[in-house]
Amino acid sequence: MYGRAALDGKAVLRSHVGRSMRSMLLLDVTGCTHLFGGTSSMLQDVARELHAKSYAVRCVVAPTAALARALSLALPAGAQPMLVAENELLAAVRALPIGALEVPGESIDFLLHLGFVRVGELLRLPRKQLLARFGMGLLNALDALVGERSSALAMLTDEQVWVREDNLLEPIRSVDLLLVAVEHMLAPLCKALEAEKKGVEELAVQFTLLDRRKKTLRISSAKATVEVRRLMRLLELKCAKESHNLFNVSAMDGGVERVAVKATRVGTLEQRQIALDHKEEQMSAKLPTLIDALSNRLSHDAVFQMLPVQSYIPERALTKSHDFSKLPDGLPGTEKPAHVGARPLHMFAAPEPIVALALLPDHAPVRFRWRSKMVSVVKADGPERIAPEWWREQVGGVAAAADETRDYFVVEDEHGMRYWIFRAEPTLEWFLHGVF
Amino acid sequence: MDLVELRQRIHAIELGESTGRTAKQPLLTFGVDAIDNILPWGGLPLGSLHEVVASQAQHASFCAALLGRMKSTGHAGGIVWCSKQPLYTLGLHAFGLSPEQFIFVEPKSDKEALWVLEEALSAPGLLAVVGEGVSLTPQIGRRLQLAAKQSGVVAFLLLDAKARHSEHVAVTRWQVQPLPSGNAPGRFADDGVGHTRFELSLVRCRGAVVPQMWSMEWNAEDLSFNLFSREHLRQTVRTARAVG
Repeated sequence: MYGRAALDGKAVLRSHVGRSMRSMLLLDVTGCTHLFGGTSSMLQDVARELHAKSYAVRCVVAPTAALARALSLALPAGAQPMLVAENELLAAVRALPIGALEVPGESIDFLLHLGFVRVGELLRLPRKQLLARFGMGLLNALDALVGERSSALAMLTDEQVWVREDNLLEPIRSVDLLLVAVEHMLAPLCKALEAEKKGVEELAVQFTLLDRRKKTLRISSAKATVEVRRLMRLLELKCAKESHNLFNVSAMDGGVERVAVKATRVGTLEQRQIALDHKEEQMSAKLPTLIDALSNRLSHDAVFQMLPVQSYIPERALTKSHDFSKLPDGLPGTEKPAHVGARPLHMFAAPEPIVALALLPDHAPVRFRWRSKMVSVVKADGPERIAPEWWREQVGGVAAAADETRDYFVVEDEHGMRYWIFRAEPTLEWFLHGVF
Repeated sequence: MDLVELRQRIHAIELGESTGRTAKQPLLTFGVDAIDNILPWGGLPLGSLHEVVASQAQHASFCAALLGRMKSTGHAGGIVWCSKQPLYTLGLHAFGLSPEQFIFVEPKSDKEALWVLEEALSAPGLLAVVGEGVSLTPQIGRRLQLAAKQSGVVAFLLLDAKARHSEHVAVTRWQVQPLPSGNAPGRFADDGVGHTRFELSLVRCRGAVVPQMWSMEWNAEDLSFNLFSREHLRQTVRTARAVG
């Protein structure tokens, strides 16, 4: 288990990592050692890397897994990495203490009681006698040590890859038929995912053409889903969008002969609550579907919410959110914070400087000029003071702009148009920040 | 049968639709008799297209007021807002709406915008679909109207006053112009900004006498529409005739 993280660089070894005891890692390095400059240098590398990661390790390389295991247990802590060559196998096995045998504790005690000290003494005895006195277990352990019997390692498997692929009986050139084939493969995939309470977040469908070229369609869903109909709809939309470069006749050539459907990203399936009122469930289920359809057809960035954030600085008080975790569900939303003044529906990306004429320090302007338009102020509300948030880091950009204290006013002209303006504190300049 | 239903049935007969329809048309009432009584349905019908013509982004606030009125009369759901740029959603509190209700979509072209509107109109759970600055042809308008009718979702098209739109696509067309606000409530000084006021005109509506004009106020505290002038019904100089 620990080995997965520790052996990042050793891709060759990764495929042969065996499951083992709590603090032991068994690796089958048959045939790989030359890639690392020989067994001994590989061993040194491994030991050094693990040591660098603050693991105190005892490393052993041996011709048999059982011997490696036994030796690593028998080695004292902090010992040098040990390498047992082919011709040294028997000698090493004979030198092993009885306690290193992979047999139950009572058998070890029994053997010690009988006076055996090293495994070599056991090896000299006839097999029949060993079998009669100590049972098959001891014989198996001895055979594993010596190499007469292979000890298969229980391999760690990769995380389950959710993919279904199939060859088509006949090459297909029609997009509709291809989608039917995809749906046939998607259904069991989704079923398998659902059984594990997982859902598709990203799906990739790969078509292999007769001339070995591959074309891939990708779709994504905001929420993990196993609804085949919904995924098919997203695929249809994507097909329509990319039809010109994916499925025109010349691109298709002989047709598609192999289809692979892979869930490239899976997530946990949200438990769907069974609403007592089915209408509500129907309503709330449609919104994520709609959002997915819109995101996939337009682009992920084009569909979003503007959600409030804990900040009084107007530029920072909203954030663009693409994850739609807070969807309207018919319940009343956030209440307006009581002590915050009126806010406009339209805010400019950057405040526009205006030339204003104001009588006294705390009064709104009587007149101001914006973009060569003269505005006479008839009514005004304010000031609402927004001070910089000293507890936040000043990172520059927006933060730098919000370094200033601002006094905001809501002003109305003689026609009824309303403007949101402010006066920046240190410079006493006026700006227009939005319109109502 | 109450007056509203009777009025709807007469309107249905006028339009030549079947009289067998007994289901009550879901609608949004303004809460102002002067307007509700003029509209043939007794209010603004949901499940259809409505246009709002204004300049300088006034239509956004009027639309928000309509949506706020919908919410306060018990309708619920999300709002898909399709435009070149999103609203500053903190300004929605003045209309009783909350930022979480809005899903903004920024299409790159008119074609995409129309697709978005049609797609959104087929999702029944929405409160409303709003399209800003989208130009329609009568055919597309009919398609959207059909989609709206099937799902029961109301669609508001916000049009710029400067652009030409003579094509009659929607069920009703309104025009909004700002008016100076009244006195600010509960203030000592009389120069504080009061509730939003605007001149609302009904420019096109089947089965109604148009044009009509009202001087309206949106009360941000009660979340309601109010008339504030006594001459709230002004007939035009031309002979009034029903459009249909």
